[in-house]
Amino acid sequence: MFATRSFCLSSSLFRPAAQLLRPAGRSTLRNVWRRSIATEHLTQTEANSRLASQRVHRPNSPHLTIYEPQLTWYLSSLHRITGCVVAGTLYAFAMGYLVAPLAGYSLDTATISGLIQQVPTWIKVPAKFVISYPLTFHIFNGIRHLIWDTTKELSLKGVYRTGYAVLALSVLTSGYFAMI
Amino acid sequence: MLQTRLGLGALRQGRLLFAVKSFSTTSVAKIFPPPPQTIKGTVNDAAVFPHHSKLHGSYHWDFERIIAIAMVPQVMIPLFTGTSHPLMDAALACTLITHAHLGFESCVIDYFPARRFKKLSPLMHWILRGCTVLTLIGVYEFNTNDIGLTEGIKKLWKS
Repeated sequence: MFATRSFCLSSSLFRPAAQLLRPAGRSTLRNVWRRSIATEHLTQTEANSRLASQRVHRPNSPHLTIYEPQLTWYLSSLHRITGCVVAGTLYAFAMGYLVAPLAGYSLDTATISGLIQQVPTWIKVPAKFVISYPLTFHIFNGIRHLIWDTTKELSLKGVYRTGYAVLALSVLTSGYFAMI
Repeated sequence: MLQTRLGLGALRQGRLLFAVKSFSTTSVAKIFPPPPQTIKGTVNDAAVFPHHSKLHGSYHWDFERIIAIAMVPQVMIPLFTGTSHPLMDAALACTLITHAHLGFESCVIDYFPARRFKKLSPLMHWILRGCTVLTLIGVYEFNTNDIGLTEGIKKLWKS
């Protein structure tokens, strides 16, 4: 009984499977493993020149256009811009004070003060605000950075708290200076 | 260095398995034209570490912070109380122009990097130094021949 059943199972299972797999397996292996690949030897100069030509076509990484507008990096950029504005004004005036007599002009305080007195008040008040705002913002944001150098307020909540404090203080101080 | 190159036979047989894709799928946005691509040495050269100096590191950082901290009373006292003195004006001029020079130097380093602008970067540094010297001379002339920095700003502001 047992011998008869095992003989039948082996004959029915293995002979058709072998017949089915043999030609298909051979053709698949023949197609997969046959490749025609050629290699060429390059000198160091040729390899470097090819790499350089490939690097010319690399795209830039996305940067300023994909970042979300946030108080953190806006104030940081504004700190540098306001610093350049205030320092540029000082540099321009000092170099102008040196160069103006060569052209026959004079940049002394009395002359400029006389010119400013001719401007009406309703122009001078907003102009004073615009002129003083870079200075006051740079002062308070600089103090903010000095506070960070002492490792205080360096959490995200602290950064935003000091950021809003700087904005409020600079607006109020510039408003006060505009009214003088 | 060996560079592999696929022949036509491989492309014909493996067309479905090895489809060629482009390097980037969006338009290439370039800010500046790429600089001349020069590769120094080979991949087998030893790594060269930058020169280690405290004058460019912690001492420079300390100097910047000392100037900034020294400027806080020198700017706040004339700005909010209006008092002025020739020596205070002289000290304010020195620290203010030093602070401005350090700030402009950071801008030159960031926007004219020496690796990319090999000739323009030293030129910009020397232009900045020349302007700083002229500014120092100009403010000295203003403080000595005119009424001084603090009194001058006050007079212009209240005119």
